[in-house]
Amino acid sequence: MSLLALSKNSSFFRVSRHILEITTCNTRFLTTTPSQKAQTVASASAGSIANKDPLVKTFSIYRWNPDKPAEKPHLQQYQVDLNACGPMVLDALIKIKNEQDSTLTFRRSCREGICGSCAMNINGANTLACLAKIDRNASSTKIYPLPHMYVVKDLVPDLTHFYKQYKSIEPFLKKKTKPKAGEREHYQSIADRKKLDGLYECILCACCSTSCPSYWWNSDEYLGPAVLLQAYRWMIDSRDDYAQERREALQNPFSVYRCHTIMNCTRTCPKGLNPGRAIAMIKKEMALE
Amino acid sequence: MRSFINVARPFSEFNFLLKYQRLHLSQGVSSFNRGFAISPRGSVIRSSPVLSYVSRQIHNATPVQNDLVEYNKLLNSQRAVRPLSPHMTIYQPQITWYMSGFHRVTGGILAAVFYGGAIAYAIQGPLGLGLNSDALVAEIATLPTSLKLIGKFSLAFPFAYHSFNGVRHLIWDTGSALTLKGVYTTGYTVLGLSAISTLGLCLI
Amino acid sequence: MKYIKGSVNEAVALPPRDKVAGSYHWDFERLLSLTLIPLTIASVLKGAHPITDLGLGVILPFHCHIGFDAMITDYFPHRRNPVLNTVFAWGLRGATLIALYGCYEFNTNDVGLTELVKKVWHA
Repeated sequence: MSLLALSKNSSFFRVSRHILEITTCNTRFLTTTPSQKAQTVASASAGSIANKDPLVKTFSIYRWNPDKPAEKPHLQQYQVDLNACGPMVLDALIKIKNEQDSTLTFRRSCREGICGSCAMNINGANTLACLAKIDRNASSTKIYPLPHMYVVKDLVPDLTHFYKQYKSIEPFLKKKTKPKAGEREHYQSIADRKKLDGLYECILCACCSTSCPSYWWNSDEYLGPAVLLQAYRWMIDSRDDYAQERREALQNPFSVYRCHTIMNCTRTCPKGLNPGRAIAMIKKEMALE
Repeated sequence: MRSFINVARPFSEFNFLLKYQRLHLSQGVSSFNRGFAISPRGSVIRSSPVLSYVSRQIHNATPVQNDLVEYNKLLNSQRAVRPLSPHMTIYQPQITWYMSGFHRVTGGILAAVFYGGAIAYAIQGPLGLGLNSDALVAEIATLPTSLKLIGKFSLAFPFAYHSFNGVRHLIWDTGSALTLKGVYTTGYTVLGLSAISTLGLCLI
Repeated sequence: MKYIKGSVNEAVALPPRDKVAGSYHWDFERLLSLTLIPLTIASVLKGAHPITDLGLGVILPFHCHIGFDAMITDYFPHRRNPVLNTVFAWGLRGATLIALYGCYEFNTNDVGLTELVKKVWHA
């Protein structure tokens, strides 16, 4: 996989982009798709943007205004022409905000599934709006904020407590000994680094924690799958010296043991991670102590 | 990843900050600059202790101590009226949480029946209920076959489902079958086995 | 939990450490569930036997107790419903003790748990 291969062999480039497209469900990596090619050809000959019949679908979006707190939260319907809109739910939300209702409030930033801002409940499942394709066959799309969270406005939940819980597990490297003189790096074998795969990619979008019924009932003291996944990530990091202390900190009925292996978390993770398994591993390691 | 800056700011915090920035800029540059630091906002820390404390607070994006109480009061008053987003009512029915919920429900029903029977038998002395296995069997024998079948089903199905799903939970506790594929495969297996066992138990 | 203690920059305080309520409880729960499997299979295949009945009469009430206790902790945690939690927890302990006694009495004076199920099923 040298630079030589990249520059010489353009098919390698196409294949790797294709792989990236499949793994991230994002069509932006492909430079042109066959339909786009056909469109550009058609427009070149027709001299105008290809006309498709408008495909209008309803978006039912949860609304609540903190400036009028007495008004109960309600669903507001918006009509969107899917043929004049990008493929993802975030595209539709931005289109609605731009063209129809600028008061619609939601978090978003990267539009590519890496920042975690646009986490919300779409058609009953928690995902990132920028990665959720609009179902062109369904008559309507229902969009709610993340479940069982206090709503700041419209689709924006208050994640303060979630961040405080993340901080409580001390998500940083802790060493017991100072580095020797001249030795600056913390060495880690390839096998040990492989253990972190599937754990470090978490973007803290909170989709999993807010999909967990145990977190719904006990978010005060149960840490939730996202935070526990990170706790496990630091526990099994070979460079970290405080694994046992990290486990001991969770010895209480709530922090870990409210997990009843419901597995909603793994089902809903938009990055394809497995918090449920990480929690089971934590329980296993704690059981043998 | 979002930073740790408080995202749930009260809407009037902007006014707090504006108030202090105006106070800040009206002082002018002090001639006793013992040293200064340029903050991202481009303002300069004054050498006066009170104002430098103020400026440092602004640079770290937190209100001054004597305004912190007011800030928190406002934030908490806003938090008090916030609605809770819907959860059970809107979340997509999935094998994951539906089977887990059913495991708990069947466990609760079976345990309630077991406790009811055991406690009734234990305290029947002073109450003179006359409960024993022969009386119960005789009572059931008088029931029509359809009711007997319903009774068998309502005991057999929860028992079969809870037992098989219990085994599924124990397998998970060893660390196996904890992928999405594993969850769905074992889930359908449990449902299938429960159906077959219930049928078998009802027929004997 | 509308009032959050401290700002977003202060970590949440983890509850006090207690291995008994933590990993030991979890180990005990799995151990009980594990022993129920051979016990149930034995009672189904071999029929009534004083030892399996004794085993079921002790382990089943404990298994049910742990299940109910999990439901109480989940739905009525002490920090949110202190009174209900205490009432239910102690009520459950009392009920389990009486159920244990009831199973013992039934196994001693009557036909035993396995035989009861068999008789009721074929009634």
